[in-house]
Amino acid sequence: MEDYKNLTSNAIGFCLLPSELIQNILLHLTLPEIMAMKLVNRSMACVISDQSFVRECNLRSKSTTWLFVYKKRWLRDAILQGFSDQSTRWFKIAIADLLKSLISPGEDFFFLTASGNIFLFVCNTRQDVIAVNCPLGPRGTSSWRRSGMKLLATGSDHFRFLFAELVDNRPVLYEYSSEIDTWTSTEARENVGIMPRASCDREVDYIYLNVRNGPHESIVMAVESRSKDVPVILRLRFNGGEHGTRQQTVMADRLHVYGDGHMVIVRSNSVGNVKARVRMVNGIEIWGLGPNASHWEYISKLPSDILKKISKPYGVMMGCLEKSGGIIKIVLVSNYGCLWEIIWLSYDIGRDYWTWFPLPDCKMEGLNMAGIGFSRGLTLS
Amino acid sequence: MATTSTVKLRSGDNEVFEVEKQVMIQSGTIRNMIEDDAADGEIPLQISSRNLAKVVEWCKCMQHRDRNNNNDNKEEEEEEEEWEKKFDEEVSEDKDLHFGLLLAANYLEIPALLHRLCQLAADIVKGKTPEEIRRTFNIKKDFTPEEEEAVMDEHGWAFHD
Repeated sequence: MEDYKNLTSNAIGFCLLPSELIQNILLHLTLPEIMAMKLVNRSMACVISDQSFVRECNLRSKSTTWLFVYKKRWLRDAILQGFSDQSTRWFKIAIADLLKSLISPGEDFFFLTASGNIFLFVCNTRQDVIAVNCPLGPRGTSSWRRSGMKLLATGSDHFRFLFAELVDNRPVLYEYSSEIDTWTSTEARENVGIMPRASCDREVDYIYLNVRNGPHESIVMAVESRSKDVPVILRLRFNGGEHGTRQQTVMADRLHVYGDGHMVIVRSNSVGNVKARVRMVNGIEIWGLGPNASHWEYISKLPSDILKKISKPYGVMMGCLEKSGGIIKIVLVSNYGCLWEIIWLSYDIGRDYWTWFPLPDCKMEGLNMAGIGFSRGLTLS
Repeated sequence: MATTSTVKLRSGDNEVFEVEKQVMIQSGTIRNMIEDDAADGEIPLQISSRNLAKVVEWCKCMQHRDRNNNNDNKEEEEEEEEWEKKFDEEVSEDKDLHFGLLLAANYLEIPALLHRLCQLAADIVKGKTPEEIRRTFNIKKDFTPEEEEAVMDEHGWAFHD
């Protein structure tokens, strides 16, 4: 019976389906799964290499957001994992294996950010920035702040990497372009009526890099993404912004996460024994640039039904915020004892709508977080 | 003008299915024939009676569901969901049926069925290594070691489990 079954299966085997049908099936898969299919046999590799299929695939991939987590047990035992809003599981990414060859004993790598097929790491001991397969050379800085940097894939192999930093108290923009393999630096100028009044199309034209994040004021650099204009400094005041809750003055009760001209405030209160330093989130808000780009302005608050689902006791929390295509994506990573919790939220500005993406267990137990970030536009080539 | 309200489909193994036109217009191919007045006799199809019966059953279920979309009959709704669940299971466990239906849905141009079947096929592939996929679908690995390495290199940065 088993033999008979095998015989009939061979009669219309998977690979004998017309390639348009196979491609139709493949388009229901995420990119790493499509790549696994490519390793199945010759005819699959051929179907997946078809140029019109690659185009279709990459077009769909543009709207897929990936969340990447770089975790490690010790120096050379690190894993980069990815989760997409189109899948239900984490993927291990072999990129970490490629990095291994670049790491000398005693060196420590951290994952900075990703865009398209480009993944950026930093080596702390050498003060090097490394895009996988493409070292950017030494670039010393005191600290890497996620809100102060931006990686832009400009094609499948090339990218621009920008970051802002205070040098002798002056905000300076550093930019690396892989096409010409050079760094440039530009000092930003104050905003004297340069920035247009808010809203209209500022989102399209500017890249926002946070230079300094203080409790009452943020210094943000606005860089015109297409022109070579000198970047503009925005000094955004923050009034402590209690939105419908009682005044909280303790900074420990709120965590600010910045990125792409926006700010998320995670409000929390201490629970149980004060010495144990256990907290619970009691509110999450999004703020954006106010009119004239002179202060932060309240936009929206996470609905209480989602808040109830995500609020758990935690010890330490950090976060990352990115905005693309009118959607603000927020990831909050918290640690409680030796357990890690990753929360992925998104907010659709136009529709004023919040979404929570529940994530499967990332198996972080006993591991340390060495970088987290969002990315879009992974491509097949 | 078409005179009857049914169409006759003849399977590859010569079984005739008489189905309401209203049901079969979900198929682009049959709809075109009806519109061209070419559906009055029997329509011969290179689809086995087993697969054709399944396609007809699916079309009937979908048409029934669409027609009842507006009334809130919880019982019927549950029944339909149950049927769809059973359909998914049956197809996922039987590759001959699955691939046969894929070809049939493709030929008959039934987009919703095609989409469902492709999703089910994708669900089978998900989470499997290339070796596991080969085993599942009885596929022979025909790469030379060099070819395999070339594909690996091409996606060197890419993902594996």
